[in-house]
This record gives sequence, structure tokens and C-alpha cells, in this order.
Amino acid sequence: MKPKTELFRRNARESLNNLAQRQLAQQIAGLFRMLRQFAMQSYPDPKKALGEVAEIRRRSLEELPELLVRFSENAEAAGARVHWARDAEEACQKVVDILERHGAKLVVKGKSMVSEEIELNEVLKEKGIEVYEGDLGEFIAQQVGISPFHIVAPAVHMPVSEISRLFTQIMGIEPTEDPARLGRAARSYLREKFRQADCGITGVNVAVADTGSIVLVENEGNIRLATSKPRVHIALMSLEKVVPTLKEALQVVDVLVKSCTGQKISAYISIITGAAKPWEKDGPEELHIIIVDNGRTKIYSTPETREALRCIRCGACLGVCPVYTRIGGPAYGWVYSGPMGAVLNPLLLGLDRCRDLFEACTQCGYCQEVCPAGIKHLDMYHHYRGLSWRGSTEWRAEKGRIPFGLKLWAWAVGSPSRYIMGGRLARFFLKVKSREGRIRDLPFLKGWFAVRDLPSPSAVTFRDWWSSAHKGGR
Amino acid sequence: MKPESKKEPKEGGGGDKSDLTALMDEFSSQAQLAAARTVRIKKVEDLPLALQDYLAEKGVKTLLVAGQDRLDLQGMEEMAAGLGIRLILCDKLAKEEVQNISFECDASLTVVDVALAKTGSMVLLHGMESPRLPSVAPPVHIGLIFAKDLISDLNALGDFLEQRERLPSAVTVITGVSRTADINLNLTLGMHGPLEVLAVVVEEGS
Repeated sequence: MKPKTELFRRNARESLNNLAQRQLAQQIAGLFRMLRQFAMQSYPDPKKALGEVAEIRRRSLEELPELLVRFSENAEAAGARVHWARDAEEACQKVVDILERHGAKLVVKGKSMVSEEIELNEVLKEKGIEVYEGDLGEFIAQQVGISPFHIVAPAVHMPVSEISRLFTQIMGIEPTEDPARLGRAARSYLREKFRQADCGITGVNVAVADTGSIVLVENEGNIRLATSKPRVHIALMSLEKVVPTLKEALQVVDVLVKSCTGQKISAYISIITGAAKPWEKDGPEELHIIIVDNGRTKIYSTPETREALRCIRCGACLGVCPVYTRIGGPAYGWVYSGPMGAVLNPLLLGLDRCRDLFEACTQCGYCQEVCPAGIKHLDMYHHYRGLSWRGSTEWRAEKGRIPFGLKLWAWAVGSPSRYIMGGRLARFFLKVKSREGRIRDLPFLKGWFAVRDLPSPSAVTFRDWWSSAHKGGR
Repeated sequence: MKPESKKEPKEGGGGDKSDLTALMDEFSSQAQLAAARTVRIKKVEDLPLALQDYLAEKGVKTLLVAGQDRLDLQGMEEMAAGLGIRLILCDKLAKEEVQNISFECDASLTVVDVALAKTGSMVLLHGMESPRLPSVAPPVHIGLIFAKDLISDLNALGDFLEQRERLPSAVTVITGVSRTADINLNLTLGMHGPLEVLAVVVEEGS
């Protein structure tokens, strides 16, 4: 999907005005948060389990270059073909080349964030290749062309009546607002696509260096069908997904599922090692694994940004973020939303295009508390904020203009006497503007006051209270 | 090869038999939580009788079977004939037939390689005798689990798979029925995978 992260402010405002969407964001966040807490209780020591996965991700990144080489060698030894793609264009081209070589005209897809990142569907459409998303939410989002609401449930904000209209139109069913019947209709419709497809395209949740395996997690069965029926399977894998051993991969998957949907385990986990052998009666004759860089080597080679690659795309951070839970995913304008998006998007798209994403953070820190990969989101945002004011050609940030108010603030806090004096002046000014204990408007701060008031300053300042309370050395 | 975790006595367990019973109990309760139906039989020869009513209730006319070497095939064939069910053995089918029949049959029966008690999961190691589609494409999937193949969890599965010299091209961990909540957060059971899953645990034999 085309990034529209620059429109975050406008989109966020629209989302805030959409009461139903706000309620939905709260509802979905609340539900996943509750399920997650419940699922975590199945660990004897949840903190330890999360800590172990964070350590696996940390260590895997430390050894990433060696792990990727090992993964690639072992995957090829098992019968897969491994391709490396520097950027989105190259990744899409490699997919197109494989499809054209097989004369493929119909493709079914399993949910894959990296395929959305590289805008694969659009490229395939241009080439006249029919593509069907297999995941129900992704299928709806694809048909309507909407931005995903949530990493797990991308089309959950679509009213059922609209889904009914859509399905009536494309599947010829009787209109119904029963989600189960709509699900069945999609099952029948997509079943034929799975059956006829020339190629299945999926992402990769975790890759295993020691065995060359890829591990895929899902609930619907679309990934299983896409990796069992078509003659060719193409797996798109962003390069940070690899861990050393199968046991560690399963440990990551275990925490991923619990953090993501709050399930004890997902309905299906597929461990795929190479293409199907010639004597097998199904499974793909060819497995192509395309390892996608698309800016990640740069992220990896910068010590301050490397941590962003730990992300396992569980979306636990979405459910606890006070910003996401009020505006939902579409406002973020791209594939990755919530704190996960505020961390990844600026590095993948450039800081200037995503400035408002990390500027919107309230610094509550709840995201890093729940992150199973141990990402310190706040440190990342601080780093981005610094870069975006100082300017960075590397991360596509033009030097920011420091507003007059901030310059004045910096000057005032530069000396205690200026600070005291400034405080007195400000208090006097605020008291003049105060009505019924609230200040509702100030020049130069229209945006800030547009959605909130400021309480009037108290009669006694903390400084005055402190000096009187501690008189006589108390 | 026996995974290590199976040999470890369970906390509070008296011996091998009670360990196995505890694993079977845990497997059944967890599989049911994941919306699978469960049945326990004493020996594999009891399978036809155990399936008879279920298959009739589901109106099954074609049953695709994978891993027949571990079944009482004669008993199954007699039961199927009695109910007018066409029993189709994967073993006897060509590649394309397995794929087509997987999408067209009413139900499938596959022998499970390993099962995870703590999550109620069935694990299939796919290969020549165990194709991938029969456990995902038919509307009803019946998994046959020998109690001796029960291990504890994903971690134990990691140990089990790492002990193998070579991994099969695909290993699938199946827990209950396929599902989605993509429309209005409404949980719908049976999306692209089977609409119903029956896990049959065989207490004795292999």
C-alpha cells in the first residue's frame, strides 16, 4: 500500500471525530489486552518467558549476518531457492520473474506485512496477474482498498452491512449481516482460488538458521492451503526474522501468538523446510525464499536504530498505546501502525514523512513494558526527535526550525534567576487570562488549546511553598 | 524415537501409566477448549465402532484416509461398507487425485505423529504417506493419536524435531478448528480449514 504517513495529523483528527471508530479501537485493544494477560498466565513465570524471547531476538540480531548466511545455505540444502532483494522494486521484480517463468496467472496470498510494504499486489496487478489475499480481513481490505485497522484484524472497522454489500457484489450471495454466513461465503469463494492458484505467496514469521526452515503462524488455514496446493510457493522474508535454532523459533512463536491474539496457541503452525520432495503427493515443487532488505541493512548498521529490527509484529504495543487506542490504524497511513509503526515507519520511509507518528507519543512507556522483543520504544522516539530537529540526510530529515516559544523556554531555563522571573511573568499573564479556574485559549498555542484547557495556576507556587515550609532548616 | 519429556515422570504422578493418563486427560480438555471434539478408545481396532455414529451423523459419503498402515484397515472397510461410505486410501492415489479428493471428500482421517498435551495440538510430519491437504482441505478432519505419541508442549516438540537427522518438508501443528474474528470481532469457527475436528486418542498400541 502507498504510504500516507504525512497525513497523520489530518487522519488522526478525522478518526477522533469518528466516535464509532474510537469505540472500536478501545474495544479491540481492551479485548486483546485481556486475552493476552490471560494467555500469559499459562507460563509459570511470564516475565521470564518474555525475557527469554527478548534475549533470543537481541542475540539473533547480534549474529544476524552469520545467521542469514547459515539460513540461506541450509534452506538451499533442503531444496529451497534463496533470493536476496535490496529494495522493494527488486523484491517485486524477483516475484514477477518467478511467476512469469511458470506462466502463473493466479496467485493466492497468506497475510504478509512485508508484501504490503513493498506494494507487491499493485505490481502484480499491473502485470496482469490475479492476486487474492487469503486471510479474510486482508481479503476484505484488498477488495475495498482500505488502510488496515489493526495488524491482526485489518478490516474490523468495516461495518458488516458494507461487507455484505461487497460480498453480494463479488460473490453473488444473498445479503446477510451474519458474520458466520459471510465467512462461509468467503470460504467457498476463495476455496476455488486456492485450488486453481498457480502460486502461493506468504510471509515468514520466524526463520531458522540451523535447519533453513521457515515458520508460519495463522488461524484461518489460508497459509496452509497456499503452501500445500499451488505448485510454487514464494515466501517473502524481511531479513531480521532469523533465529539460530528451531527450539528458539518455537519459543518466539509461542510468545508471538500469546502477545498477538491472546491465544494459548494458534490454530496452525507450519514449519516448512525446503520444497516438497518429488515423491510427496502435494506441497510445492518449488519453494522460493526472497530475503528482503528494503532499508534494513542501514537500520542494522546504525547502533541507535538496530533495536527496531527486534520487532516480531505481534501488535501487543497497539493494545496498550493511548494514541492508537483513540485513533486506530488507518490514521497511521501505512502498513505498520501504533507504536510498532512509530518505530519502524520513520526508518523505512524517512523521518520527515513520519515525524508526527513519533511526535504524537505521550511517552507513557506502556508499549515497551509489554513488548516481548524488548524494544525500548521511548529511546527510539527520543533519538528520532533529536535527529529530526538536528537534521539528518541519512534518515531523510530536514533540519527542524525550533519554534520561538521553545527558544524562549530554552533561554529562560538556562539560568535560575531568568527561570524565576519568567515563571512570575507567566503566572501573572495566565491569571489575567483565567476564567472560572480555567484558561481556554492563549496566543501562539491555538492547536494545543483546540482540544484541552489549562487549569489556572495555584495561588502559591511550589517554590514559595517550599521556602516557607522549610523555614528554620526543616 | 521417544521424546525425552515423555519419560520424565509428571509432578505427583505415580508411574508411567498415570503419567500417560494425565497427558491424555490434559490433551482432551485442551483440544476441547480449541473447539475440537475428542474421543478416547482402548485400541485401534475400536476405531470403526467409535467413528460409526459420528460419520453417519455428519452424512459422510467419502472418507479420505492417510497413514492406513497404522489402522485396522479391514475393520474400517467393513464399517465404511456398512454405512455406504467410500473409503479412499491416499496410498493408492496419484498425486493429482490426492489433491482433488482432498477438496472434494466429506471427511478425512489422518494418523497424527505427535500430539501436544498442554495445548491439545496434533502434529503431522508430512511426507509420502502423510500429504498436507487431507488435514486442511476437507470439511471434517479426524486425527488419530496414539497415547504413546503424546508429549507436553511446543518446547518438547522442539526437542523432538531437533533430535531428527532431517526435518520433513512440512510439519504442521494443528490446534482445534480453523477460525477467524475478522468480521466485527465475531468469532467464526471453520474458516479455510476444516469446519470440524475430531481427535481420537488410542490408549494402547502404536
